[in-house]
Amino acid sequence: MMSLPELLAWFARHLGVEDPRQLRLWILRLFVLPPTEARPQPQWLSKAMLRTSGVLVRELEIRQPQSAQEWLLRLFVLPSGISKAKKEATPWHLSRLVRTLLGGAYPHVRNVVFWLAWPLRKLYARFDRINFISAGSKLESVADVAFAQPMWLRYVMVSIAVVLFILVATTPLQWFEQLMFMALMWLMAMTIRRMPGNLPTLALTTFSLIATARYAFWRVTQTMDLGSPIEYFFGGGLLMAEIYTWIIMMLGYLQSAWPLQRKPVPLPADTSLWPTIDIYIPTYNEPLKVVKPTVFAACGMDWPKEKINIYILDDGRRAEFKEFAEAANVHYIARTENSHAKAGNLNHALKVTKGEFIAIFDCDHMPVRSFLQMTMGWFLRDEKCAMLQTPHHFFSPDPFERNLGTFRRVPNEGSLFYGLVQDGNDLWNSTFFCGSCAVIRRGPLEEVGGIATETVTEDAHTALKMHRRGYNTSYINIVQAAGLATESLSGHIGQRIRWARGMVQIFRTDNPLLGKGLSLYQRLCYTNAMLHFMNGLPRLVFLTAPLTYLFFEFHIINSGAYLLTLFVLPHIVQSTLANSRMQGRYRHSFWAEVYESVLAWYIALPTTIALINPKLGKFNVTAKGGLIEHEYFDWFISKPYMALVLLNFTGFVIGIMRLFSWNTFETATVVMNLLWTAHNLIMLGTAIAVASESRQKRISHRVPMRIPATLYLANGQTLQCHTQDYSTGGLDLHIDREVVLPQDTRVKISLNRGDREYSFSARIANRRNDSVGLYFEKLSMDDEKHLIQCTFGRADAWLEWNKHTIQDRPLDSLIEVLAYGLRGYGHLFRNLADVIAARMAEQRIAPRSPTP
Amino acid sequence: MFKIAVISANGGIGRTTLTAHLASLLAKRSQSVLALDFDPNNLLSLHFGLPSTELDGLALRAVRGQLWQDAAFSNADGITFLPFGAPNENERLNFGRQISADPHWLSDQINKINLPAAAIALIDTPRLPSIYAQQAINAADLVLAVVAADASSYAKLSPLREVLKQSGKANDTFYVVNYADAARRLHNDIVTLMQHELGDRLLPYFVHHDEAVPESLAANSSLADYAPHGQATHDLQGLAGWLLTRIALKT
Repeated sequence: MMSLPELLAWFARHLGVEDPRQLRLWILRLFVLPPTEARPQPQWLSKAMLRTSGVLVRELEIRQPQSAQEWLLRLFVLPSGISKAKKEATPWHLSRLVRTLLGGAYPHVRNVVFWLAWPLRKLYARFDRINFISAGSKLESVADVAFAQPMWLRYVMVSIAVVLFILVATTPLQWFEQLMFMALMWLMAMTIRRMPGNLPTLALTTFSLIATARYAFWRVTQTMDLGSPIEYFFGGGLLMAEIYTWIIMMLGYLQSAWPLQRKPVPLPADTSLWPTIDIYIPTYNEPLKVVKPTVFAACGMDWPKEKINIYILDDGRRAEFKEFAEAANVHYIARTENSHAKAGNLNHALKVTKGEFIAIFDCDHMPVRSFLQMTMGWFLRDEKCAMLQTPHHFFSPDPFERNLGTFRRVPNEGSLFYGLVQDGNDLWNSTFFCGSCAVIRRGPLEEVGGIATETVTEDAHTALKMHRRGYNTSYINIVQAAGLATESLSGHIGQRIRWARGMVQIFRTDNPLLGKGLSLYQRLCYTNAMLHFMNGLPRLVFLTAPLTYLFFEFHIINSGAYLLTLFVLPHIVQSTLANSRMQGRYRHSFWAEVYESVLAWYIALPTTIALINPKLGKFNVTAKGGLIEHEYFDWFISKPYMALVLLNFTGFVIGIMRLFSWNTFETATVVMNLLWTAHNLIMLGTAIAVASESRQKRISHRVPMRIPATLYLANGQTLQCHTQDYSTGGLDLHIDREVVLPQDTRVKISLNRGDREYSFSARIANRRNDSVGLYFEKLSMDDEKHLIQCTFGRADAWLEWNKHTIQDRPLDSLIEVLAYGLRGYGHLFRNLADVIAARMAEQRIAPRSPTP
Repeated sequence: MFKIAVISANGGIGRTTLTAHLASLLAKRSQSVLALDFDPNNLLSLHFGLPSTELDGLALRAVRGQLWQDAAFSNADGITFLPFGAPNENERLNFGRQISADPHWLSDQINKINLPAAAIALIDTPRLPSIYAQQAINAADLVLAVVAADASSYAKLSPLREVLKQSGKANDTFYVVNYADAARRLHNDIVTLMQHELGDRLLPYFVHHDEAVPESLAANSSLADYAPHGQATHDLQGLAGWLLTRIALKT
């Protein structure tokens, strides 16, 4: 049995591809034989090849003809597709490309398109005249009237709405009527989405629910009449996967219908009324340099000194941690065994300390000084409040952001959860504890027996137990702590596996739908949080479903392709519009598919196992603070995706062949399955792009921030300047004047914390125009502490963190995902070619001289 | 006219320099400024390019019974500068006795000056205790007490506050830290102590130690021109801005 690289090396050898790293040669050799000594390649052919590729390079605006990735990308996406600045030029490029392709027919085609688009243009011209803001407020006032009615009338209204909804969802329509219905709904949605406010959002979700309900009703009642048992098996599987997504969609709408956006409550002026707080910083095997900044930041939190105690909970029992704790004047707790990992560690500390409240920070989550001021007010106002959570914020890129280059531009995976889901949960009093950056009241925590130890997601389970006892939880959506994101993709996946496994364990052992003490909405919110992690299997079903038709011609949906499109399209379009409106700031359209596709394979098995036997599984600590030194391709992680790519690619080729040469019936069905496969290939391509680990340049991650600073020069002059970014190792200053600052000059730089100024020794690292790079040297422990408190611990450190995130535009987002997918294949090709080249060299095949 | 007395309980902490630079920054903001040197050492005149000996001025004319109104100079920045003058030893003692008998002598004299109502008078003084500084305090609408973040300034903080309290000016006094240098170990400790004692009275505009300040004097150039991005320039601009707001609120 040959391995894949060997197989491809064999192909390369027999096709005569001299250098497998050049995509050009692969394509050329598919059509043209390599020149032999006896019969050299004719002059006209190489000239024609050169000319053709020249025209293509020019027309497609390929900047690097050597790059396979760019060829692939430009075949599908125009160069101006992503950058906003060039956007206006798009139609021109497009028309030029279309003109090249169509030749003489171009003017006619253009005229036809122009006249066909006439009503749409008229419509959009009308749109600009509508005052959507006043329309939105009118809608709000209508809703206010409805909400002001007596209870019984509201019930009547809701009942009527439900009856109407069922009627709309179940009325059978012919294809033309369904088409009109779809168009009408789309037009209304396009109008409504321009209105500001939360009510239009609810209207859009209702539209989405109607479209989905119609599709679901039709799908279940009309399309499941399948032929053979095997078709029932695959068709049933697909339907189950779809039902899963419908449920998740509905629960998601419910969960994030109305984010509470809770504001902090001010504390009483009399500090004697403020409670005592224990700060827990649990650590197991993280290096001291990761834990230090967190301890320093915690020391800087504003709270009466006699009412706050900071504890390092060291499960690693390391002497250097103990020494550090003494030097930093914080407490140190170690236990003799490590049972129940982090939960056990916290529970042990709970027995030793006495504070009325416990604030927990993962050892790499640095709190800002205002953390307690922002959070504790709610505990004083609400006696039943047992836990308050704040967002987890990461100032370094996660593997997705680093490998795709989307950091601070496209909202990351966690953004949706902490930006919207937890805030939405808060409305239903079902925000749950996330293990860090949270405060818990000691009483309720002890009442439920401390942090839960039955499952590997002890945090969510603890919150569930407290909810069952009738306690409240709160969420404040203001970033009050920040940490490092997981370094590598494998680490990231490992962490998600743990969450998925743990949530499913809770679902099995302490099901939120059953048992005492929860409100209906709490049950639904918890259920969604847990079901959400079971997306692995359904995602794999979607990634392979079209193959059952393309490979075996199984009909797993009993419907014509056109009718299916008419039903499924409104479902997809409306849910995209609704989600884009609801989540646009926290998740861009089609990125959920990207994130899920990467994780699908890895969480499918653990969640299924946990569903069958929740006892299996252990806690894995996420490694942080490392450095990826070399660019590499994670072959191990991407193996399942390779297999899926190979399957989908084969399916795609079969589909193309079925269009033109063989078995050319059911063309529409073939096209639909081809589109589906193409979509799958794009998502898998993105997954592969994520698996290409790009090199990381800095050990300490820089945070962009403008803080006033004072630069003390050796000659006694003192300059007023401000920072551009900072890290634990150094900072970049903006200095307006042409000051001469040679490299390695010793300087002192001082930063302010409130009205206090702290200075740090540093040296000049580099100088570019107005920007001066500094790195710190010889910092004492006090200096390090002050540095953290002046930078990461500032109250305003993370206020503007999402300033550069781009608002979602579904079509732009689709093109972006497409581009990343193609980039993934570019990476794959390059890496594969390198491997093949190495293999060919190994086999000592003398390469023939490449064609000129 | 709004009168500001610049005082300190310690010598050598940049009181005169601060007065001169404040005057120049206020003048740059189109304020009509009178810089009045009420210090027999005549140090402020150095900042205005005048010799400190054989100098005409307020005290000299007053003790000789002459009119002193035309002893003032005007410089290119538009600052009116009235020197103390260089009386001989006897005259100086006589002058001292004369003003000791009349605690509001300086106040009365300034009121005679014909400057616009919106003008600002900055009065430089010798270090406390001093009858000259006392006169300036009595005359002032606002007292700017200059301190340094060092042990001796802190030690003299209580006597200084006592003097101001007895003059009834405690509520019109604000403290400004000069020669601030966070790189010095004691700096933050002393500042913390002072903040604790003075609260809001300690202005948040710490004037940093910056060699550009003496260098600009040597280069005979105003600080804002000499070191536009210097930290001390920045701090003094902040102080000048604060003073203008304060004056606008008070008048």
